[in-house]
Amino acid sequence: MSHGQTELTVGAVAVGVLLVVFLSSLINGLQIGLVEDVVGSIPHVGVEAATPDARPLWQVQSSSSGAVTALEKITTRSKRIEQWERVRSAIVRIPGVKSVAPAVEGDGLVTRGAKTVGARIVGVIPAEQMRVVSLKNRIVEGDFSKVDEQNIAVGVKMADDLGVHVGTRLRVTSNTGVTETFRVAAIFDMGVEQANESAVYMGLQAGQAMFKIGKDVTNLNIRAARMYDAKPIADQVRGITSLRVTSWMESNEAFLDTLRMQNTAAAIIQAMTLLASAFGVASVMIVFVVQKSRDIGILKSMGATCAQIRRVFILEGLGVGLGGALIGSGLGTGLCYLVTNLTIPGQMFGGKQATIVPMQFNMGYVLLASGVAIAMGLLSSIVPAHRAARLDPVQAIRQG
Amino acid sequence: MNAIVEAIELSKSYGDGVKTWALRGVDFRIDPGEFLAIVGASGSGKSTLLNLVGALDKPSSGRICIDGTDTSTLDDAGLAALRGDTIGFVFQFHYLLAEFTVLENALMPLWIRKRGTVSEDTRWVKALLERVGLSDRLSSRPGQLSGGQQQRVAIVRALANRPKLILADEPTGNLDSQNGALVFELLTELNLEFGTAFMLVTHDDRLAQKAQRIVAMGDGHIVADYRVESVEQEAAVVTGVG
Repeated sequence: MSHGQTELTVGAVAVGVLLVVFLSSLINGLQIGLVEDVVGSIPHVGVEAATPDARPLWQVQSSSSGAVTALEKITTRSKRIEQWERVRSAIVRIPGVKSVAPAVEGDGLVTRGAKTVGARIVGVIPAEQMRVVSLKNRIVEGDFSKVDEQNIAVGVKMADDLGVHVGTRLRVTSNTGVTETFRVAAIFDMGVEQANESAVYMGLQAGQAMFKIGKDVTNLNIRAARMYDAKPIADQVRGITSLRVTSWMESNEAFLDTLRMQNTAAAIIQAMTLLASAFGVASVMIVFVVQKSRDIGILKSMGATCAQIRRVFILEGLGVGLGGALIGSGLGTGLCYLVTNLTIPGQMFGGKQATIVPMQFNMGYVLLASGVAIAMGLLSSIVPAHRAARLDPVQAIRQG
Repeated sequence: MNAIVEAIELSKSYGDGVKTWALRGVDFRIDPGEFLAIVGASGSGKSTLLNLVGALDKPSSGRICIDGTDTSTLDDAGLAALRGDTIGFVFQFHYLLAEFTVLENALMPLWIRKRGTVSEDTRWVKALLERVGLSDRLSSRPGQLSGGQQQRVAIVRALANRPKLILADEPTGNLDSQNGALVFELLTELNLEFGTAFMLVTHDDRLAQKAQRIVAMGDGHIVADYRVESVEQEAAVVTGVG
């Protein structure tokens, strides 16, 4: 091809590849940020003791002395996972499960002086809890690993509402009527309003005491090695226990749908971009065949076979694809690198310098886009190559 | 002696509905080393015959054997091999590839047929280029040469594969009379030096008269086929030169 044409076609492919690499990195980066916000602070799969269905009063009455007390008694007795160590060791054996942490959860109140707010009390073993949810970068003040039987962690909103800091003492009352005094050891920001407003973390034994459930727990929180395995893992857990099992994917269906739509839209845009480049390459090459038809005729008169002529054009297409892939992925990678290093001066996020656009560069996208570009160059040369090979040498030499 | 070209009842028509007959049952033969000129008015069938002899086109009916092979028995690759190995083409315009140098253009048939050249081939092509007076222009581009020089490169290119037959379609048609005469002279010299048969289509009767044999065409038929040699000899006898 003449110099202008080669540059034009290689440029078309390069722009396609560049866009695919850049868009993929951008969308991936945005999604990872989003997913981290939504999923980071919750376990991938939650297992909790099922709340028993409400029973007709006559049934309760027949079972025990007083109807009201009997109902309460049954409820509190049932909402627990007995022999949870055995359940846990069964769950840990499921492939894809990274870690499992026990927790005691229940409702209560937190009081400081005259102020009282509603609370979701969570008893955990801090070291284990930190393995199932990402608390790194979420602690605003203090140290979460100090949470135990005397020390608690509260959310930023609650700390604000009650005016507490690390070291402040608070009274916590559970809905079973147990009241204890704790010292605030850490203040966290989960990125979720509800958790920041009401969650109170304490040691597992303190939680067990609060809800009077002995050595039992109410929840087992599971971290999957890959977060998108959460649903199959949840299904397997359901197979081994009758407890209530929820994966983040099931409780965030709408969010996942949004992600999927985003991915589909991105894929369509990228496919269109590559398709447009392919058409560009094909049309330039068809024009090229017309321009060069006399030369093709001459080559045929010198003994070039149809297959040889076809090969020349296919190789041309392959070269265009390769060149475009190389330049496009080089520029795309460079652009991603540049944008990743665009920071907002003086602003920190998660302990790192905040970036304007969160990019997640992935070599896989570069390879994929390059592969598609090369295939595209080849495919878009098939029609022109066929035309060139089929040229009648007599016509080509006379009219070319 | 086996003929280089042997055509039997060769016909060629164009058009699907109303057929135009360019050749109407031509019997024709070229022997090795012959130098023949085809003359005739436009539309008389000269170029059609040349294209059929060059295996660039297929006859509508009749048979044509080139170097002993019936072209109707060959597929695309076979025809390409025949063109590449047995026949060389020279056209009215040089049709050199602008992107390649003089030497590369001349080596092109060897590249196509052998996919790579040995030094012997390169020596041969260089010797040919020297023979036609272009040894100092090997790395020039076709655009930097004069019309006569370009046509001489095209002639060397036609000879590169040592073909048995060279087909030339108005090879001097685009040159002034002086250059045209020089190119024609070169063709006759090469014919004698290498024993290559030449089939030349021309409008120029003065040039045609210098060929050994003249084939005149009209309306798709061969209307005359005679040898000039004897005429010249007769003329020589008459004028007392020979």
